[in-house]
Amino acid sequence: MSLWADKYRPHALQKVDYHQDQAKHLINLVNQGDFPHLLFYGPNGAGKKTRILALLRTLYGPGVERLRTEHMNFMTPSNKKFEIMTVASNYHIEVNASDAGMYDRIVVMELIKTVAQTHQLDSNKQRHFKVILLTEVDRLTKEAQQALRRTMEKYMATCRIILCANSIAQVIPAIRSRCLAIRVPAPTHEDITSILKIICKKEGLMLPDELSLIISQNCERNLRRAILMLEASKVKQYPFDINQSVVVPDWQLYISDTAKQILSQQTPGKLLEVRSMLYELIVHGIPTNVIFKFLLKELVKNCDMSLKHDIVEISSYYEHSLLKGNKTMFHLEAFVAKFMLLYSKFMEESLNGIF
Amino acid sequence: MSPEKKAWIKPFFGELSLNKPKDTIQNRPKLAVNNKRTHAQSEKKNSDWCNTYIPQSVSKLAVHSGKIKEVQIWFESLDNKLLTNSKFLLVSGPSGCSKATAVRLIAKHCGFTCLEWITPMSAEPIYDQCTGGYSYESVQERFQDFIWGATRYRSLNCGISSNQFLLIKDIPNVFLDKPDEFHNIMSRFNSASKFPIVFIVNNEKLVRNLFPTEILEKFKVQEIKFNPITRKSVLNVLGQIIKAEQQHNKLLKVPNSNELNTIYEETNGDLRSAIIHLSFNCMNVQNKTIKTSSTAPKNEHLDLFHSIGRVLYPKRELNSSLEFKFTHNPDNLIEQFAMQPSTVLGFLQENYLTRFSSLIDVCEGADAISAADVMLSSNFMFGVSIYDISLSSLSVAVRGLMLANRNPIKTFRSIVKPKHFQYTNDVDIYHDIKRWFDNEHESPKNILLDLIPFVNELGTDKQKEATKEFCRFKRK
Repeated sequence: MSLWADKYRPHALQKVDYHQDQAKHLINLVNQGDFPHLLFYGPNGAGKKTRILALLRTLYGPGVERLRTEHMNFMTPSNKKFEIMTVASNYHIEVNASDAGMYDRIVVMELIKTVAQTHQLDSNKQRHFKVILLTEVDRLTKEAQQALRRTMEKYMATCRIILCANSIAQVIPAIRSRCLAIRVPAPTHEDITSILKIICKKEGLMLPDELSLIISQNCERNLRRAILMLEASKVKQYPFDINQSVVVPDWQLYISDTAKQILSQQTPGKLLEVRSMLYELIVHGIPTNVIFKFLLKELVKNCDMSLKHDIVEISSYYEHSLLKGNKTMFHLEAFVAKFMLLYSKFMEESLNGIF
Repeated sequence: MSPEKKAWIKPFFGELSLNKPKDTIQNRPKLAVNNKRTHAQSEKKNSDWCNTYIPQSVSKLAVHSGKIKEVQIWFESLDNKLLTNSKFLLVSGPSGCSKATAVRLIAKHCGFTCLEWITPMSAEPIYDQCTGGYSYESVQERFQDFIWGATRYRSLNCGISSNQFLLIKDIPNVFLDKPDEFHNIMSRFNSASKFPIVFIVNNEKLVRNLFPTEILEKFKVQEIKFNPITRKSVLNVLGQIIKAEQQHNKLLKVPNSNELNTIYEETNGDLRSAIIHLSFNCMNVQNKTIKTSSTAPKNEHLDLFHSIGRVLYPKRELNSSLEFKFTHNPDNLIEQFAMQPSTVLGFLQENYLTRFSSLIDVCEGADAISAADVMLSSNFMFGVSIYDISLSSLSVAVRGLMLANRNPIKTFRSIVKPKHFQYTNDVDIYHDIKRWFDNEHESPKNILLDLIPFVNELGTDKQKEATKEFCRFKRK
């Protein structure tokens, strides 16, 4: 049984449900037969991967969907061996180099070299290039990105590289300028509700408008999550009820708990508690930028309009230093401390205003 | 020394070689000896008091008598020729606590001759007669040869005493990386030799590395741990030295008991260092008194926790109502951290929060730490070395914290190890996720964020089981 999210993923660019204009451009691009390196970027669950796979399918035909997973071995200069999982078809290979952590540079260089050094067997029938799909490029280290930039130019003749990232802010400009950047914005709430309805129709289910609205509001405009939520709700209770509660991710609840703690009291002791909660999130592998984003969202909800401006300002400052720095926790904590200070000051002033 | 003269047998005329100039001895393993240095040497204006006043009998050792007895019993047990007895003795303890001196003296007392390994400083080429070329011998080979030779052949002048033992004080560095090789040599020695062997190690880590418990048991190594010399003994020895020195140097500047105490505190039970300090303090430079503090303390013995404490509980000295300075200079504190700046920063971050009393201060402190971390991560700066950057970033953190903490909370709290040490293995988590969801082609991050929350409804039983363990948040 495959998940609905995979089952109802459009396989052709003609069939995508939203951003149709962009899809047309992509079709035109592929029909010309050749294209530059591409850089897809956009939030999670916006459909980057769907578009990339659809693009590959129009390029090479259904053969790209015959996937196999391979484990590739690499050796660091210090003779440490490590393994990376890749997903490949005859025409393309997909790899998430940031899995290798600090050794991602080696993966990028070695992988592209081995793939790009061989030509396609039958260049008349097939395209004359292969495609390397690198995901989560924004999590690559600067060294790896520099290496990528060099290899990109070198092997232009035999391969095209498609990069996939959440934000191009952390992709070095040298790479950005070598690629055609394609932004895939998140679907709107209307897009999501209509897609949910289409899926339910195909599954033969009745979906009340209210529930689809709740899901679309709770999914952070992440289509994948929306479809998963729908499926989870269906497993939980069917026929659907209008007042049915949707499953909200546990980590999201935990972050809002953390925010509540921050708002409840502003003392150094509380900050210590909040720190341990933040560590709890980090231990469970929740990326720090996600923590930061949701925490800010929850905190801002409870702030006065005049305070909101200041909060967002300091958050952008600490988010920047978080990206620049090494130990993400330090900056998260500094942000929370600053927020506590601003918030408690504001509360005091407003209390004084009342009396 | 020409290479031709080096034959394959290296003669060890230890006691005779005393007359030779020192540098020739150092280059090879030598038979060192129950040093019979006399006052004759000190007349040549020799201020090396450590050797001049080396104790001449067991009773004069500054070591605790219990330890002396232990060593003595071990040596005496060798005489019993019981096969069950251990051939190995491991003496460990901090430097300067008279380990080697005690072993040598007691051995002499029990009638043993000492054969000591000294790691050669430089490799000399060895002339190979077959090929006519020169080759180099590795330190490891030499060590092996030494042990092998020492177990097979007696010194030529061993007629004096029939018993001899091997003293290995500096274990060649090659074995630090390859403890297995070392254990090999030990086991060969164990089976082949009649002679006992004494290891002297002053480094706890080395002991753990080279002599793990199973090795200790396997070779029946007896371990004796020496403690730092007590205050009383150190003062006693120093007093004796002063008395002896006064007899032939009337101009000697005699330090008072206060100064002697300071010497003890600075050297922390290291007798050798204490004697050197004493000789420096006693120097009579044109009748000018030298302040004790002018001797550089061995090191101030500020461990990490101590220095961190000084940062977290900053003491201020008010000069006037507005000006103040810190009792402990931040620059000195930064220099005293003998650890990687990032580690120190981690310790500071983990512990600062519980010492701050107000939120405003916390905010400034957190800001300083955040700024320091950003600085520490910026490796690419032209013309500035990484070392400088890390020092100045540490300076930002230390000064920032010290300034920000206006009213430190004075209650005692133990200093905790930074948590983020344990938490940096997110790659491992993603690895696990990949294993559990091997049929998914998504990135593990997305699986974690999107799929795992719904795994109860949608996942397979195996996945439910696996994630149950891992994905529950501990709530209070």
